[in-house]
Amino acid sequence: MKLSLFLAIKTIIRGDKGSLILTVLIMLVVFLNLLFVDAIFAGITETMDKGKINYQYGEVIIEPKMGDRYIKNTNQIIDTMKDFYYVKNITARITTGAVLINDKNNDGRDVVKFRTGIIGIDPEEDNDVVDIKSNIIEGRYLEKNDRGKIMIGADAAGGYGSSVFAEDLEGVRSGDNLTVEFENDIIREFEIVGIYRTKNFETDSKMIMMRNDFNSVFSTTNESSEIIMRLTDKNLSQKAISDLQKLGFGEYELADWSDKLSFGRTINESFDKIGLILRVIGSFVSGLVIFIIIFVDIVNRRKQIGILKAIGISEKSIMYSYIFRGMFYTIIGMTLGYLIMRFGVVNLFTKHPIDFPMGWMIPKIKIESLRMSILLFILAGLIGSFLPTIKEVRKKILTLMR
Amino acid sequence: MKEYILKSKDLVKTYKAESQSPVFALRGVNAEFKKGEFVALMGRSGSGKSTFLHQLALLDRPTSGQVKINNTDVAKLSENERAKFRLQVLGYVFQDYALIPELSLYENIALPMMALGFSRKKYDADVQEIIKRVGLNGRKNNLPSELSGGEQQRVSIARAIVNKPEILFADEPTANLDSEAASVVLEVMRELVDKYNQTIIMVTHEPDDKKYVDRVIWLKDGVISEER
Repeated sequence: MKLSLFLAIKTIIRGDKGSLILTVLIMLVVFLNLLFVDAIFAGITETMDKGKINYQYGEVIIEPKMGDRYIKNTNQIIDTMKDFYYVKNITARITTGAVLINDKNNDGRDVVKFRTGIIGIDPEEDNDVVDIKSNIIEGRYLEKNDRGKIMIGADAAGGYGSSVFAEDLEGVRSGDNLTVEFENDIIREFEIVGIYRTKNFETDSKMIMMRNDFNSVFSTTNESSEIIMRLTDKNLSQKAISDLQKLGFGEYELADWSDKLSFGRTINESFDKIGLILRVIGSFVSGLVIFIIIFVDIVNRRKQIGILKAIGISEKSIMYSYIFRGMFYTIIGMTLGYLIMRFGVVNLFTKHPIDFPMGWMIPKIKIESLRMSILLFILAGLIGSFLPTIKEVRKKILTLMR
Repeated sequence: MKEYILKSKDLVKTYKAESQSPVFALRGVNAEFKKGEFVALMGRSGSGKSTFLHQLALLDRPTSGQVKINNTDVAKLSENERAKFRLQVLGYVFQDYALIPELSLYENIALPMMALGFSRKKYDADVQEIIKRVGLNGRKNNLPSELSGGEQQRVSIARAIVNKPEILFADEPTANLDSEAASVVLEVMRELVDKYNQTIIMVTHEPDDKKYVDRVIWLKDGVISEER
């Protein structure tokens, strides 16, 4: 082993610098490319997860069971849970469906209707849990004493860039009046005070109104449609759910943010599959590069292998020296690729996130993916350097020396 | 009387191309070599002298016959055992020096010692002494590309003798050298025989080389035609 390492090191140090740099560069680019694509996928997944947590469900959400309309003992749940060490903030929301009507010219001729969900909130309490306030793109956030005021998502308002929905209100603005036809057939007019865009399309297609206004329409008091909890650590969500069950709130639907990733989960699964395919292809390419480099090198050094064998150096020692070289190219390429990714690409995109439809995306290096990529690359490097070497070192001495 | 260190008995080597009758390179060669003897194998091209050396030096396997080194029938050794045997018991000098271009003069010479698992501490004195012996003192850090042909061949000899082999095989060691460099190389080899009782078997077709050796074995058409 010591001799193999010695031969490998000397050949690398005193060998052709140009081909050394080129080989490492190829390995670097292949690995960097793999890390980048993986990091983009992980970044998209995280952006979607964050969107769900920050703008819609928090870490834990309590909802009525299927068939029930409201959570009846809202205040009791909030009072009980807010004292738990892992609960940062908690709020109740009340929701319903409605048709938003935009009478463009206020003459009843050019009327646009948009069916969507409506959320009734206490703005101060809600702001501690769901981050709409920092995503206001026009106007302002709802205030404690507002009455007859609403905020509307950019996808519902229309005219604020691309949207996943085919329909919207075709361009309502902050300050415009909007007619809302509730499910109980009550129709009221509201003033839009703010337009928000979180890039979570389910939130951005909704309308948010004051809880008091909602209560006056539906004659509700202590009821809510969902209680959203923010935790100190999202990994404590299952503990929170278990505590809720122990406290006798199992009569409600208790879910954590990951349970709500129906669409996101499908995407995550697809990304995982694509990531795996790319890792395998990337590793194959890197293995092939090593194979070609070692093969070309070994063919040019056939005579030298014959000499080494002739003077009594074992086949194993010769083979290991080439495998060490293959591993050197692989490991240096991977290390440089990782460093460029971690301190170059990720830092760059942290300062300048990519504008994705579902949010501002920062590439993220996932440890599990990194570990698997490293493992596959090392395996590919081993196979790529082993195959051409074993074939040559097993040849007869005189054949090699000819 | 000196003991025999190497013997070949009825050594036959044939090469067979597909669907052709075998070509005899050696046709039952019997020879004996004594400890501390400098023997030249000579003959025309195709006479079988290099093939004979390759069989004796364990670089090839004979079709039939026996090669005994120190009474060990080397034909019975496995490939791994033959590699160990070559490393521990034999030394080689090739026509084109056969040095590793990325290793310095010192490292090339020390290579067999490293392969034997010795630490630098253990082999350093030996390597330094051998460098002096072949007249390359002060050049130990030079790469082969920085040495002349004659110097490279002396490095090759130094590498071949560093592990104190029983027999040194040299395959036309002076073929690529001018007459002056060839003389220096042959003098170094002669000195090894005279001072250190080294056994050397050398293939050559330079008639001038005869004056350095103790005995010449002439081969013709795969058999020994004459010994002097």
